Amino acid sequence: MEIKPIEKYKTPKYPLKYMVLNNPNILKNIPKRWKGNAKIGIALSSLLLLTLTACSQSGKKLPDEVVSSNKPVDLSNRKIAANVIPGQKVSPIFEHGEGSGSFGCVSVSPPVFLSEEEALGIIVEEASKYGLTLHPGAEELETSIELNTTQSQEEIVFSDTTIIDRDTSVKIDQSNHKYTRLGKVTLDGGNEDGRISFEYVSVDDFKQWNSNFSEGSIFYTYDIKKTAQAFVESIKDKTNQKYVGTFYDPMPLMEVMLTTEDSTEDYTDKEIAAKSLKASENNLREQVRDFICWLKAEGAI
Amino acid sequence: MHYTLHLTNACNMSCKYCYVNGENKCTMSIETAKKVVDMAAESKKSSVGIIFFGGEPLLNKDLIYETVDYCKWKEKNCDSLFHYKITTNGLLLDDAFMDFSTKVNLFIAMSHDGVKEAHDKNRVDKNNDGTFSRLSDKIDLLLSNRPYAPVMMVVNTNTVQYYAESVKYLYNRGFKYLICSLNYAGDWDESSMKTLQDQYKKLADFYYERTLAEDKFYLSPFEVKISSHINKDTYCNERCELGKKQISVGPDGLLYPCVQFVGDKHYSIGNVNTGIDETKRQELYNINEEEKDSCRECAIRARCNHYCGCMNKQTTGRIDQVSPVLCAHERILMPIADKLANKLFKKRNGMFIQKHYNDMFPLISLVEDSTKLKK
Repeated sequence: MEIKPIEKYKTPKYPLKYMVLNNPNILKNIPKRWKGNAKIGIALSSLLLLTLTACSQSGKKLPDEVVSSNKPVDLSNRKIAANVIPGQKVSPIFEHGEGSGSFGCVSVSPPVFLSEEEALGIIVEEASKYGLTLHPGAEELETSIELNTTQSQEEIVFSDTTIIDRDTSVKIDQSNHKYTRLGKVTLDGGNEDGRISFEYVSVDDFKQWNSNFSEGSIFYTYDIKKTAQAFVESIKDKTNQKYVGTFYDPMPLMEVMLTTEDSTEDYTDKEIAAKSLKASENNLREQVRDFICWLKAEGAI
Repeated sequence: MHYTLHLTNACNMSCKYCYVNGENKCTMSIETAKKVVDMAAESKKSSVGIIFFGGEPLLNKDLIYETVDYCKWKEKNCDSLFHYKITTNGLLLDDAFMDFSTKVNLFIAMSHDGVKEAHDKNRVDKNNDGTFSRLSDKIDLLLSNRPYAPVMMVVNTNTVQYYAESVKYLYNRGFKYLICSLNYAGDWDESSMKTLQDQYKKLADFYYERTLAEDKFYLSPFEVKISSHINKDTYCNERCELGKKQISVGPDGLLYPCVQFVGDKHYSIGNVNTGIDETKRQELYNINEEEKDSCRECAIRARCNHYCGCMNKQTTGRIDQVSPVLCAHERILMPIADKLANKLFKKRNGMFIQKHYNDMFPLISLVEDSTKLKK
């Protein structure tokens, strides 16, 4: 045996502690049996209060501030931004936001992404305005899907023993450099009765499903919307009567937005990032509104 | 700060993977033990750990009683509070010692390798007989008095196939703190590593099921690796700092930076009469801290255990040389642990989130347990 340094290792999707402390709502997830225990309730309330106080004193934004609360809009005459296929229980992608972008080289603004936590908060909040109560938390589809990836041979070998489940397999078409992953799907959340589920395709999902992607390149492209579309295609007819909505990180193109809207102003990177996040939030809310309309049209709610 | 007192190099067992050189029997005197306590008190740390270690420390129970008595007396005249821990093979645990441990709050960790097939392969007595059956009552005695007692399990090449089964056995016997470690000095090869990987996958399934069932437990391989990501910025503070967080004291009063150096005078960093040789300690610390050439380019080096100089010494004979076995182990364990944590977080599992992200979890857990007891 010998020492073998690992060249590349995927960043895990579970968050770092400081991220959770900046988003203390996550700490509201507690064991079920704690819920009726008054003493634990007191201890937890004190903790949340301390964490919230610490966040506000440090000037860090709380998730509720990041996710600004808008009033519900009238959806009665809304035209959905998607081509709906009647009778299909999998929603199409609702196109609000580019969901893609190229960076490096002449692209000056660094990409800004909504984290899964922020996005799930927005989705849950927006849906609740229209009477749909969604909960974050993994929902497993009892089915296998095929999701094309561009994983390298090395990645596949590595995955075979580590990343991919034992109930997951990989089809390799070497002549076309195409690898297809088959396995169970875990969605990001759903409603109480389990009839409606949703998936948010984040930049982390994009990276996971496109393992050859490297930010180390001089020029690199994210195409989260395309990944979301591939995901929708993969789960069609495989949701076991469950209605599934797929959202994606809108990733607005800030150079375009800033030159068309505010060409006279100069912005710092921080301000651009804040504007980008706000634009993403608005676009994601639009995606959720389309989803609500689609569910109504399908008779699901 | 912890002071590990190697009370004796004698043992009532002959474990096949034991690294202690027991040829020249040597037992610590009470004078030496008192000098360690004096040294600890002079460090002016508010909390000082006194750990009784061996060989088998329960061969010298009187020395333990006297040392704790001396600590209690010393506490009245210094700013430090002492807490106590012992690591034992369990054979000599009895009611009297359990009463003592309860009275002075002595934390007891028991070494046990799990199911009979695994335990009796290596943990044998002087007659080469397995000790599994003799420990059954001792486990009950220990856990009925000290329900949070940890169990220390060693996985060797000849027992790796029982790893998951052994963890489950010990868990079902009532241990909720399971500290598992490989015998890194063993003759590991590709085949046994593959078995180890399969066992970790089984253990990940077990961890997942138990966490979904909202059980409270600590299974060290996964907890440590998950923590190395979650506490990324502070994890480096938790790792081995050779001689800075703990001092091992040999039966003859020589000081060493960690337990596995005891007896190798080349690594001695002082003695109880003259105190710590700071230059020597710093020298070893610096060698240990310097990034190893073999690991400089590795993407997971910040989360890896290759900084453990003690383990490096045991396996390669040098503190600055990493064992290929450790490297292989990290490469196997880390992705399995991360995948497990990804799944549990994605489920927003309350037990997982509280255990790993809530610093008050141990306290809240204690509140819960005390509520249960009152009922």
